[in-house]
Amino acid sequence: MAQRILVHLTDSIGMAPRKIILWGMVEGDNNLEKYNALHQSATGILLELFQSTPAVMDGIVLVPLSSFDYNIYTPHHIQSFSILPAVANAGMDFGVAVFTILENWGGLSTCVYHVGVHGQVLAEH
Amino acid sequence: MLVHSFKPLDDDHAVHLAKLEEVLLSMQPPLSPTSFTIQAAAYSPTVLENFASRAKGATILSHLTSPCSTLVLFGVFKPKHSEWFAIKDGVQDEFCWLFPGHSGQLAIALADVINISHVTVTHRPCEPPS
Repeated sequence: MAQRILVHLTDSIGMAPRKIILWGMVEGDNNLEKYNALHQSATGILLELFQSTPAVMDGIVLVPLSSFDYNIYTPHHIQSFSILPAVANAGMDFGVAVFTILENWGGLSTCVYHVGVHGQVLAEH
Repeated sequence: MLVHSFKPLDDDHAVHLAKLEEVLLSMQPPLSPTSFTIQAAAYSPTVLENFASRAKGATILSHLTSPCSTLVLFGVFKPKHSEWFAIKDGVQDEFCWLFPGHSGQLAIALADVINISHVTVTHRPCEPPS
């Protein structure tokens, strides 16, 4: 019985998402202009994300907003991740957010209970 | 024996080792190359509104989202594992977005056009069967 419980919990933890990339869909000329400037000036992690992952999907332009790991070793089930400062400073706005889960913690399936996207509506909207 | 090859430490060495240990303990664990920021919500409370809330008008873009597990489509688990549960307000033990394999994608049309500041992700281990 104890072994069954242990296996069950292990399976459950293994189904947690691990490496995640957050994308924002680039829409409108103003955002596309900021995207191009951001792409050209990207450094560090942002540059790696631009280079290693296709930013266009089915004709849609996506900009990487953040890359992070969900940590199963903390007691906090709800974890918060900021977007990259360079992207935040670019001042782009987004109507679509895309979570790409690259890998989980070893499970055969992946389970996500909830995601939230937080921010502020622009004044001109 | 390898143990006997070590020389006893003098006071200076002991002090240096103690300082080194203190520095190592104060360091954060190394992050993976794709890691950027990890903050537990407990000390980073969500102040800004969640625009990925289904109740506020956010929707799932199915054509850009991984389908949920086909194994559960023919069983009673189907309504429990839709991608829509990922944007439902509140977290319940038995309801999650479940997809096969270790990688997948979730595309959300937000309730409004916003400057995104941060996101939250929630997973909770299932309770063991009674």
